[in-house]
Amino acid sequence: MSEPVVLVRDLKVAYPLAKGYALSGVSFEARRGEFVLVVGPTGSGKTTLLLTLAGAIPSLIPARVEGLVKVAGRSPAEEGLAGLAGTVGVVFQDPESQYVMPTVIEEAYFPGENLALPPSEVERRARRALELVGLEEYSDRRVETLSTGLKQRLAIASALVLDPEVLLLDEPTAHIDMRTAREIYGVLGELKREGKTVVVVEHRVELAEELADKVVYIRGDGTSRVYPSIRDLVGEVGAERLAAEGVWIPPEYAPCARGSRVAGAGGPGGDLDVKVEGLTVRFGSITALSDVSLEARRGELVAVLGPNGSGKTTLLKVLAGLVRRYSGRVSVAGGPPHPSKVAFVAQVPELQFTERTVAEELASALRSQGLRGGEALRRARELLEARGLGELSEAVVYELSQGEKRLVSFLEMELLERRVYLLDEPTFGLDMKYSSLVAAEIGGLVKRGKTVVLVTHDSWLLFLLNPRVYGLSKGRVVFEGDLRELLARRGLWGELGFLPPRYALKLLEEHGPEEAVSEYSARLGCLHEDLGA
Amino acid sequence: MRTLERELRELNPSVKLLAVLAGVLHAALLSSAAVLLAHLLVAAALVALGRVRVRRVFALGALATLAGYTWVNFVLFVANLGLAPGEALARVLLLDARIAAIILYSAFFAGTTDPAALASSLSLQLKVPYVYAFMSFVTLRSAPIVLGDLENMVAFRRVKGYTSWKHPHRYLLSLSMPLLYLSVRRATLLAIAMESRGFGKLPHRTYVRPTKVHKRDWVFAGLYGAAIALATAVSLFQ
Repeated sequence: MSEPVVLVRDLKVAYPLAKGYALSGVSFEARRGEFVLVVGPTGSGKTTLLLTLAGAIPSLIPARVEGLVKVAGRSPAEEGLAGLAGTVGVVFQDPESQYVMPTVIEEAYFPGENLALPPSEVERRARRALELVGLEEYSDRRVETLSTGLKQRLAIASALVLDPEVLLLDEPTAHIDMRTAREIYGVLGELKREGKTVVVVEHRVELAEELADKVVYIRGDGTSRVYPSIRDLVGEVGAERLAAEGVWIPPEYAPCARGSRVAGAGGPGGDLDVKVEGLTVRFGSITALSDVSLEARRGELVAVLGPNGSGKTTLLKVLAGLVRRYSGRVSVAGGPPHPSKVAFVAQVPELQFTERTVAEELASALRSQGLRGGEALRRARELLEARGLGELSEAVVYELSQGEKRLVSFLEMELLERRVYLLDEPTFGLDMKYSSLVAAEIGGLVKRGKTVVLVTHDSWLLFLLNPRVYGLSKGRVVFEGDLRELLARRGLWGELGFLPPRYALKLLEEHGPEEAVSEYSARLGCLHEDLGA
Repeated sequence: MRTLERELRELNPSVKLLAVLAGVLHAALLSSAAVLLAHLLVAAALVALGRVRVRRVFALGALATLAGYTWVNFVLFVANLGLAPGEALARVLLLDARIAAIILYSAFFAGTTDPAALASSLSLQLKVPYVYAFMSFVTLRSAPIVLGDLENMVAFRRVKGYTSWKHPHRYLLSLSMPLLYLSVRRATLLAIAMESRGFGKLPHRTYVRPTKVHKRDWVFAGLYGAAIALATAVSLFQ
């Protein structure tokens, strides 16, 4: 048997000033051509593990590292991130933070040039890497004009140029629609077959499950155990416990098929709260939205689907009164759109934050409703207690986990008590626990008669919330209907970047849309109800 | 015109940078009307021929600054130095010409220079260590991202009704903290991404498309130098 390419023995990592270990005895190994899936709850140290394997910890990010770590026979702690360049390739979840050069081909040249390879060799490797990820036709395009999915492919290509033995990926599809995510995993499958060792942290477990040769489960306390497959992990630990820890368990592993949907929110509703007719938005020579018409009634949940760059966020910004140059008619809460008429939950929660602590942040929303300082703060603390989040009250907002930040941004917008709620990818990058809590919040809004327009890439959310669906493609509405109709119109999925979750797809192919929706929703509901959603 | 635009945009960035810096220094040191007028005309011509696109907000900002600067200086010259309004105005206009020339030179350089080519050129032609050259380029590339964050933050504050005009420092603080947090997070991720791609591993690197000094760069430097020299000569004979 070949020597392990990645060898981790009793790895412990402690950040300066932190109370305990971020990782507390992680052990696993991976041989050439093996695909390792790392799962665990938010904050369990999955990203810390990847950064340690890459050598970024402790060379760039200070931390104490104990235990044995070898990557291709080398020590990441001793050689550092730059020292391992060429041996290890790293890809993160946000492609915007990874590219350096202005054009696709120059970005692909960048690693080879840094290692002072002869220009002809740099050119050859760059072209090959772009071909491998299907970007050869984009080589002269400026990177900022690519969709998020294509940028992530470019990040993978850039990591592949140096022909690394090991590829480390931290939630590489978090920002990407399901269809593109599957394509990226197709590329990773190719790399595995070529003999690359791949270690990937992924919340959307079903994407990586088929490729995984082993699953490293990192518990909340930073310890780990290795399983041959997700099925074995679920069999030993239990779906309920994994779900409660935030691990994304595909619903087919749910032990029951009881449960109900969180919202059941596709009902007819009351008066029209959102009405859009013939909306066209142009930014210079780019048409972001073209002749879009959409309606949402009071107490109705409307989901807007579409691939990256299809105009979904622009539509929300028009409804919020933040984009004011458009043609067509737009009515929100009975009049022209204005920021004071809507609550808008941003993709990046930090953009919303104005205060230091969680209680102060929520109180600032209450103050804008007219409440005085002390009273607002008291009400904010009461609200947090009522939601079981009392311990977060005095926490600094920037020190929260990503899931907690999203919840706080959600609660803050709820406090504004607006008629119309605009939610931009409210579950992206969240573990199962926080996704369930956010889904429950959305359901709660709808039950209270709020009109919700939701933009999402997460197809599972449609099964859980049962909204009315609008499909956008290249700025145009190409679909309007409910989830069953969408499932029945398979020809549109590609255009919408839509792909049902794996088990739902299986049910659809075997039993049709009705059974797929009811069975998948029930299993999903079962898992999410266990989380209190 | 298109050919001239292309030629100006394809000038070697280091040559362009040195020429513009020499021009700015020249305009700052000499206060003759002929020199400043020449700089103003040359800089305006470069901006026009390079078809530099300036965002409206920046153009308005520059104009507002210039107008404020003019007014303050005029008042100071008249009230403090006791100059006649006509003479005060003439002096203020000379100062304005200097500032306007510097703004136009900067706009020409920023609007016609590819940051990646600038980084390569600084490293290849001016022998700046490539790590520093690329750092400046990456910083420039981050500017629109930070600006986008700022725009989004202002928008979300409008949704929240968070204006706090009574305490403007609180409003500014509410913007600066998340901006700083997001910038540091992005910078850390970018640094990891760059280092993992071999950046800084070796003291030197290769370039698939190296920048070079071409004939057009010599022609540009010659013509520009001649125009400035002519203006200097005219000012000496005045």
